Amino acid sequence: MSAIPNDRLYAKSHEWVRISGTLAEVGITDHAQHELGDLVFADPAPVGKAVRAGDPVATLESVKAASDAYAPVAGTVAESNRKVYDDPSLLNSDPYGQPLVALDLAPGFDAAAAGLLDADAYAALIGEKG
Amino acid sequence: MAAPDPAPLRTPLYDEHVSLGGRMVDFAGYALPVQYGGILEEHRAVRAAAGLFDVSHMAEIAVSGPDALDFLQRLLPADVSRVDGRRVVYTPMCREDGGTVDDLLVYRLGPDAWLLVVNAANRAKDVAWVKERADAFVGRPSPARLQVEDVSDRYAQLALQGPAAVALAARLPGLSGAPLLGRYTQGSFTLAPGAAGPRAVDLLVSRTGYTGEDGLELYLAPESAPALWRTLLALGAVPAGLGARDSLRFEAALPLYGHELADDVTPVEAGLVRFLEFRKPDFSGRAVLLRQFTQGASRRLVGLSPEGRAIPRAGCAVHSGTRPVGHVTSGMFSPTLGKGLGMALVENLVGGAEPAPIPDCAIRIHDRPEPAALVPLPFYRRPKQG
Repeated sequence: MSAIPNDRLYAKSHEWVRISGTLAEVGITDHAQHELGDLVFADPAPVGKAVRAGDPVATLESVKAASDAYAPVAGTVAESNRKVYDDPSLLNSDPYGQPLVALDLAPGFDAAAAGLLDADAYAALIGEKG
Repeated sequence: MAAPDPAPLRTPLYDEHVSLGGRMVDFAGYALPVQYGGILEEHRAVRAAAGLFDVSHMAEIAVSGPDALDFLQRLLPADVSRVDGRRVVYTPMCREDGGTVDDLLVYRLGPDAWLLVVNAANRAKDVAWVKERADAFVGRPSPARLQVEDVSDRYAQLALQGPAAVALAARLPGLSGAPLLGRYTQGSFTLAPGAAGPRAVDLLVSRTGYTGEDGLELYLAPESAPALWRTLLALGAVPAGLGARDSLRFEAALPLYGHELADDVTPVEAGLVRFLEFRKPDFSGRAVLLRQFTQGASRRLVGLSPEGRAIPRAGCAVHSGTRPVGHVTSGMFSPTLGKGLGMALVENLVGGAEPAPIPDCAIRIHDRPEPAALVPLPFYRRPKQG
């Protein structure tokens, strides 16, 4: 298992979010890609779409099943990663290097109030050493 | 209150799956691996070389006695007299209304003995059905002339599948004659000591499968299965799980009971007419099936290919314009074709051999209508060899 990066925060639904300034990159964790298996389709939300925390930011499909990735925080899609649309297996090989989207955070965003986990807490959630 | 699901049963190979890192799921009441490394890799191994599946969950029903052949001819739409100890026959098993109880393989075990290999999920239903029909067939229970017995616990089954499968099996001591088996035939072999444990082991070998590739299905006593499994892996077979089994059978358009076939779906609707022997004067379901065959069924199974990259899934609605005309029975990403595909049961308003066209066909995927083209089944055919 690859290490869980401590430069970002995590949602219990197995997305990561890396906040710099007013921009938040959102992706799926290594644990998530492992559980999903070989990804064959990834469709990140389009630029301009407004999402609330908990709304889908991407449709992900493995050979067997479809599932959504959810926005850990609210915002408006500023960047949609077309590389993972063209090659969904990037999410399997490099989950922490390939965000699904980058969100413009709503003004007044408070990371501490978003109910996110740090790397250690996320590691504990999935029963892994950080 | 619903009772909680009982703990899944274990096949004789459970410990092998766990030690190989198999991701175990409950399938038809059995703990089985959905994958070991990854579905795509296992799928490709079967298409390119040889994969090994544990299919010990499959159930076996022995039908024997002097009346057994006459009974099976009445029970099943296939011509069971062709099951002569060499030929293996695939057949649906139908209700009188043509609906499909299950689909199965028929083997010959002796002069008056046949073996039906049925789906694990249908084991209890099938055993009850066959026993009930047997009682009705002889008019009164006549154990001396016709016996039906669930013998599932006597068999483990391994499926060795792929273009290299038969040559690989022939390297097992005692199995050098396996390549002489033609497609859809069976043979009895004895594995030499060492191949499946310290003693010689009887093996029923069937050149059949559920992947669209050449390959073998191997039946043996459960206690010998782990040793044979390890021997085949050592010879180079790649362990493959339920995920690849499903994606392989899907590309080959082999029906999965509960999806393409069900109690309320007939084999004519599912496109299995070639497995029905209408020259037999009588079999369960014949009148309805013959009428559907000659006059056209009101729906039929088709292949659909979305124009975009969306992936159809079982249950997705199929529309012609705005009108719903059916549903996807199985849908997934096809590893070989590199795109999403679906099999669907749709209205068939025009009779004839070919499926009727579906004007403005679309599959509703993630609540969006995705335009789709009607494509021939199967999606994948293995390349001709030699």
